[in-house]
Amino acid sequence: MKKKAGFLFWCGVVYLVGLLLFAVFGPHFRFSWEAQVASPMLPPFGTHWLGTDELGRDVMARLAYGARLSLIIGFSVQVLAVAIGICVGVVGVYGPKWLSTPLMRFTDGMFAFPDLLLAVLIAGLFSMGLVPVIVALAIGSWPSVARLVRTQVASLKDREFVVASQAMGASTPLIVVRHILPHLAGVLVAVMMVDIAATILAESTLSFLGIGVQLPEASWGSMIQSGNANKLVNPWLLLWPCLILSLTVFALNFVGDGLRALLDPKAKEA
Amino acid sequence: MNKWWLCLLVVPALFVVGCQRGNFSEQAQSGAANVFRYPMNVKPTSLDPHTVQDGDTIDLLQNVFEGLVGWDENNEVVGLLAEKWEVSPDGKVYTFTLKDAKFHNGKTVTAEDVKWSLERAASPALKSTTTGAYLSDIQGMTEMLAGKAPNLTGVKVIDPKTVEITLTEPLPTFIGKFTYLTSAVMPKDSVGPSEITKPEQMIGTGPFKVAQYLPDQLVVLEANKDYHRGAPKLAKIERPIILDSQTRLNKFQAGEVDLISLPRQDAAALAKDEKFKNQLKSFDRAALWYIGMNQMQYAPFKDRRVRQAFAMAIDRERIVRDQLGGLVPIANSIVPKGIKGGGRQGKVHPYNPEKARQLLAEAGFANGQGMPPLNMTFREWPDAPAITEAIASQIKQNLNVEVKIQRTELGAYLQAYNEGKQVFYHMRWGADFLDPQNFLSHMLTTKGPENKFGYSNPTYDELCARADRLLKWEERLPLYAQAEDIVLQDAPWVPLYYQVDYELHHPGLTGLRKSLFGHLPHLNTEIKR
Amino acid sequence: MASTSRSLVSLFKSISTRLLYGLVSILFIAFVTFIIDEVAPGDAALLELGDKATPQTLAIMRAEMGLDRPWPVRFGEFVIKATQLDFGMSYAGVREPVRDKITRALPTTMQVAFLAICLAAIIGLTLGTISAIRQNKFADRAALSLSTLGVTIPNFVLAPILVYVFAVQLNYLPTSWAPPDRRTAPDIFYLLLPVLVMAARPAATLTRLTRASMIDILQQEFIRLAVAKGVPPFRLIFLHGLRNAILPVVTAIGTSFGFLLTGSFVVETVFVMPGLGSLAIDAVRQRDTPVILATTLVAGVVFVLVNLAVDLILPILDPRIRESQV
Repeated sequence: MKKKAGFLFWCGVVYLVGLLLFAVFGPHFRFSWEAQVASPMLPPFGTHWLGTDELGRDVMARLAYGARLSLIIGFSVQVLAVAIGICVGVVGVYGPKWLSTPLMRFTDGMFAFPDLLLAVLIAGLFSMGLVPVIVALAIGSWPSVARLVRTQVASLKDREFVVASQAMGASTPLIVVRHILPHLAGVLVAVMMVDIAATILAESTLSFLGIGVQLPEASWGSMIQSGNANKLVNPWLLLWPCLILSLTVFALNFVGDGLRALLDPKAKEA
Repeated sequence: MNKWWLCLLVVPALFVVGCQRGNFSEQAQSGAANVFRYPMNVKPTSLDPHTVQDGDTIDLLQNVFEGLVGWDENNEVVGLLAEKWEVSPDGKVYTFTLKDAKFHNGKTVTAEDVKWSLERAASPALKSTTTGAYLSDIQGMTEMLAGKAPNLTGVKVIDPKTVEITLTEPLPTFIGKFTYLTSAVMPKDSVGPSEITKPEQMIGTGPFKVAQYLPDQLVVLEANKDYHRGAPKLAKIERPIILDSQTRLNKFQAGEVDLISLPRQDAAALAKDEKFKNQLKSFDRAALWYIGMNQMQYAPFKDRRVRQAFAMAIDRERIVRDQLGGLVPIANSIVPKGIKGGGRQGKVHPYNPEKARQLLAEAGFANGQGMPPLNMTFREWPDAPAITEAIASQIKQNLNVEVKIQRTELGAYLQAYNEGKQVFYHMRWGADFLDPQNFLSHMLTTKGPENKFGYSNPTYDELCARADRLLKWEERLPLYAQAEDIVLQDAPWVPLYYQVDYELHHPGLTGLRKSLFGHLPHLNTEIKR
Repeated sequence: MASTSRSLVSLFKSISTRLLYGLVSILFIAFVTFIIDEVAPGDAALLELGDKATPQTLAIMRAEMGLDRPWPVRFGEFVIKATQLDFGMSYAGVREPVRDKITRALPTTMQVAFLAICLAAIIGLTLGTISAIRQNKFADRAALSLSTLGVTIPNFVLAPILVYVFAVQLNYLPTSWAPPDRRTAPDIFYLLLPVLVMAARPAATLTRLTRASMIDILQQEFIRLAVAKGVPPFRLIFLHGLRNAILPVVTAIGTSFGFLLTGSFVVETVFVMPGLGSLAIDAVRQRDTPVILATTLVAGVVFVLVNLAVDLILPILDPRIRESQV
């Protein structure tokens, strides 16, 4: 019985599409995101729909720019984590015993890696920017993907079509790529959606610690951080990025849940 | 069974409950009379006055320990343990007469204790970094710090109440530096040469003693009734360690603490708040915020006209008004106001974009063409990002020069600064002691220890060298003024503003004394509830 | 008898293998952290002296901290001393043994983290089960949204708001945590908000996990068979459903302890709790290498032990796992 995707799923999809458009066109829509066009700290609902920030820049345009950066960060981290996770997870099932057992144990150990500490430490190595953020967050994310991949592959390994391919003499890498990975894709995409949300949130915590995006660029995390510092003067500056972050996280979660239900109704969780 | 509308009943229920205030604070935390509670913004970095460096910890320790001299509310040097002192005609020998004073353990203070304390501060085993910075004018100090001498030849005990200190040169700045806590007097042989780490070892002469020390959490001081300037009016000072500024504000609003320091942004907001604006106080600090241009890293800065163009392209008034809410004084000199000779209307370059463009063109970079890429860095302080961004965009707008802002992690920033690799940067210099020498000579003369940006002007050097050696203010100040005008015109630095700190005070708080360095020991502080 | 002693031996073997792997992982993590700290510009001496550093003062300070020795010596010495639970002297602040800092910080964090995980588990299991039973109805959506809410607002924004509302304005709760001997009210007042904020994220994860797991179980054949046979639904849900669904949840609880350090420092900063998280972050800021390494090691060991406990509990809950392990 194929489930019908729910109302919330479609809401999420519409929102995300809207967000993509916002990210592409927003930064230069009515005002440019980096130009100091007006007096600082103007309240919203005027010429500047969401007001201006502490340097007189249009908040809406900056949110759109922030959407770009946050989505890029979220996406790159997850792609990296998934890539590593797939490699490790597949080796964990198909690899020789002497490799796969230590590897999976190592993966379990890596859950304890303090990714935030690492991010602050490596921030000094690269002249600040997105690289330490992406690297550190990816290091924090790949273990759970690896575990998930391993569990899935282990259960898929014994299914009829895989056994059949093996009987016909197909080599292991071929089986993995042609048969197993496509089945994995559904679950992975769904998990990725939800994890992108978590990554964007983690990036905001890193901004709280003072590392991450370079000025004058902005991500939602850095806008939340400066909004937090200025919240007594102008609470709007804190509200807008928090709001758009929350809505995006909700949307990503609904879409992720919907995708999981759609693509693989009998998927077991890791 | 879809009784979802039941959930909506929760909302009015919350309203009814929520509008009644609880009384947690009243039950739990109401302050006792004459117990002054104010948080520490950082964890104490040291319990040892001979090694302490940062202002916040000094604010704590200066109530427990004292040296022979200290600052007063007029930013003058006054005697603490010293009743008076005389300077020999050649300016090299200071003779201090000690007051009748007792240590916290009841023992009387003698000249032997003074000599012992100075020698402890100088001992190589202690590895203090402040002793060398502040007391190296004393004869024999450099040798003892290097381990080449077992004691200080420049400090002599004349009799139990008289100490004679001989300097290597007749420097008028010595007495100001001598106020630093590294000269604190402790009972002879009371502690070893390694750093104090326990409150029991903290025996000084100050108006308060350490009653309780919970590391990372709390320090409690109690009054020293036998203090030589009279018992303090407070019974206790409680200093909880609260690192987060929002939490400090919450506690102040809940009535759990009596004084907090405020970040500038919050100060701007609270200045408009009816309830708090009368409790908001501001304090001048002896620190200058400026923009530095490093000639050794960026060739165009070698040309005076380029530097002047940059100075004229920065609209300092707008920055102070817009980014800083008009809450700080704009700096038109290098030496901050409050220091003798500081805060004057120096010959700064006024904001003049056309003249700036003209100068840049004369230097061969018409319309910004030909300027190599320029990175601007800043130290991570509140407001620094906004100010840096504003300046970068003004330079771009007025001179058409691309300035790329580079946010650097603190460790990397300090390393670059130390090695003289900062190119175009927003920075602060806080006074070590209240004398123009600490700004003009220390930072900007060719051989100045902090001159890492290649500025060199022989006329300037000569004026400063003369002023550094004269003994009378009325002779020194005109020379410093002349020198300051030269350096303002040459523009290796663009001064922005002097630092002002903001605090919120409980209305019943009186008698708080302050100098340019911050609070003074709480002799007269009182709190009435 | 023979089989008992055989399974005891194999139990012992599996515990020791896991411990070994765990310790090796932790050492590896500590080593990587140490190398990065080495390579990154600046060091504790520079950060302590700040812009007042001069070559002479830097040399003095580095000698005092022991930073003038080559890095293999420093790391090796640290590891050897660590086995005796001596982590050396802290570079930053008052010079005290790192062990003292850890012994003060660890109980504070552990108490709140433990309570937070328990709360998260209770919330997660409850909301997740409700969701699973009332799948796709309003209760499901409400529970999911509620749990998602816990993760959408960054906790460094949520915590101050909660404090402002409940402590400053309404005055029901204290404005911050306080050490046990300075509390003037029952402990729960001081622990409520920090535990709540720390539990938000794991509660959301566990809700989803429980929900998915329960849905899975409830759809299986044997449940339908039992319903057809007339077994009362509540008994089914709790006895069979939960008991099976709980397995991935228990595993996830173990994994959540991996966030002990990183998750707690925001809570610790806002609520003024001198715990392990803020100790670690301060240490990183000040490049206090012994403290950085010690906190990484301690958090890692706690993590390994907790997961070991989880691995030992699982077979008890589900005999099928027990067999597949032998």
